[in-house]
Amino acid sequence: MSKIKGHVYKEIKPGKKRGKTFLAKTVFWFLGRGAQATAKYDSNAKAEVYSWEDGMTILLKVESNGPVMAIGKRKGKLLYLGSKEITADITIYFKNIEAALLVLTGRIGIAQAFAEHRFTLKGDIAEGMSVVRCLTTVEAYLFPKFITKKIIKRMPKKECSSFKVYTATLFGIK
Amino acid sequence: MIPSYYEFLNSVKILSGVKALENMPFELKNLGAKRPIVLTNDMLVKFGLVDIVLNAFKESDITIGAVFVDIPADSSIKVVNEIAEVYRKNNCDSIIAIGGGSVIDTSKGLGIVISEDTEDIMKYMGSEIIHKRKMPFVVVPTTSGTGSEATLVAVIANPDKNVKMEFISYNLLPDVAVLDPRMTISLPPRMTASTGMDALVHAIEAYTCMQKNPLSDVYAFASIKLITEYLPKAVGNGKDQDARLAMANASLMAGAAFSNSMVGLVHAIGHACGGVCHVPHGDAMTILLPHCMEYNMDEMGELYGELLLPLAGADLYSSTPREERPAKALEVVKEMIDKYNKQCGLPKTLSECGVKKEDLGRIGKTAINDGAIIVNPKEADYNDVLTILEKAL
Repeated sequence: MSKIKGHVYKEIKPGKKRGKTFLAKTVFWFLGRGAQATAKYDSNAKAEVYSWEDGMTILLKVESNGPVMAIGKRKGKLLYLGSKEITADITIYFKNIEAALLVLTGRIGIAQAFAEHRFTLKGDIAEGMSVVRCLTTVEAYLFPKFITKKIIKRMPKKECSSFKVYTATLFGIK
Repeated sequence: MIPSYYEFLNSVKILSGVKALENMPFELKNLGAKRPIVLTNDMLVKFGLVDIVLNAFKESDITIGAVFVDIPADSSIKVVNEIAEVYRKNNCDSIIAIGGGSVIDTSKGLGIVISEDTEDIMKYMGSEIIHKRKMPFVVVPTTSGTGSEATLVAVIANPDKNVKMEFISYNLLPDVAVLDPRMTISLPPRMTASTGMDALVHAIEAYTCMQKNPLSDVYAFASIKLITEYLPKAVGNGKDQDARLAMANASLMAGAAFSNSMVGLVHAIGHACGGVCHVPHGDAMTILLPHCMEYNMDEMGELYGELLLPLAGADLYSSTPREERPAKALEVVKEMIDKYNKQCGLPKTLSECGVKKEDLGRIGKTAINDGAIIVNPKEADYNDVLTILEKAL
């Protein structure tokens, strides 16, 4: 705080958006475990994961100190690695919680989010494209049709029911 | 229609026209520079273009710290690190790039290495993760062109891992771009046509991709208008300074457009053709443009139809019924390519560039992992890309 010529200037620390942060954390949990489940049952997601090097780690994070989601290929499988920040080969940083929620709540797709500069990407962009395709397949299973038809350019053919993927998501089936 | 959200930045100061080069010392002084490193390649030294630039510093306060001429046709991380050592040892404080895409990208890589004080540029691969540039950066393009003098992208090869690393950041934009007709006057007709078509594809894709916005549209539209008017003149008479300057402007505008709007399917497949089969970039753009337009027609036809105006002029545009304009625009593009094919041997098929049927699989796999494909409004998977490649073969 400072006082100059009779005016008092107080600092303003950044506030919190607890509700939105909790929502993002929750969706990240579903997305991570959903990716794990989708890669088990869907051959297109499986093919993308197959093309990655074993040990590859992908992190999604909301700047500046927001929620985190990590997934990675371990011994041939795509696994949800939790909600703590770890060193990653590909990191997608959503610029703020609002940008993250636009994607996580299905208002815009990942391609549109990229076009709108809603996130930055650290790592090899070519590898990033495979990750985006994999996550798009996950979205196809996790989001209802009325959302996916707006946000996905071409709906991939689902190879099992979303119910099966959701069950695997909830029970953490790998 | 205004997009729900977009970002636009073109912070490059543009000097265009007669004796533009001679204003460089003034601009460098404004930017606080005293000892620039000049980056170029030996062909441009042989053509005398580098001397023209260096002579522009006579009677100024600027001392050239060093001149590096060994930049290869494809930018590489090894060359970037070599130049960084020269930069540091000669106490340089700014960069002047004289050349085409490879020289400019190498210069952008140098900017990353020096600003981040690193020897491992791979740590900065990605999109919008480079947060600073410490030194003034001036570009003198010698082709028209890649438009790299106005873009936020650099592509640099890692020869050890046989990959091309992509860097996207607003901090890669130069401070100044100098468009002087003397720099492109000696470009042969075939190269003029090829680089001119590259600029055309930049503008067309910038106008039609997902990231398009009202400001990038203006640049793209104006660029196409200049290209259709002046590229034939520049190809027909290389000494036409007005045509050369117009093409330099068109190329920069197309660069500014796609820097803020990205490119799409033509570039995704074209980059892959270059990476796998070393097809020259401008040639790949020329060959692939009509095929990708045909593929995209059902999603982007209306936008192609709007481009008939700058492509063919007001008379043809107004006399063509609205629903026929997309097909007409494609026809005009094909006629343009045919003309340059007859005039200066610009290729029309990938096989003319040495691509074989057995290469198409590898090209397809590379193309679907190119960042540009994500912003093509129409989805294109491996099979779609393969179909396009087969038609283009």
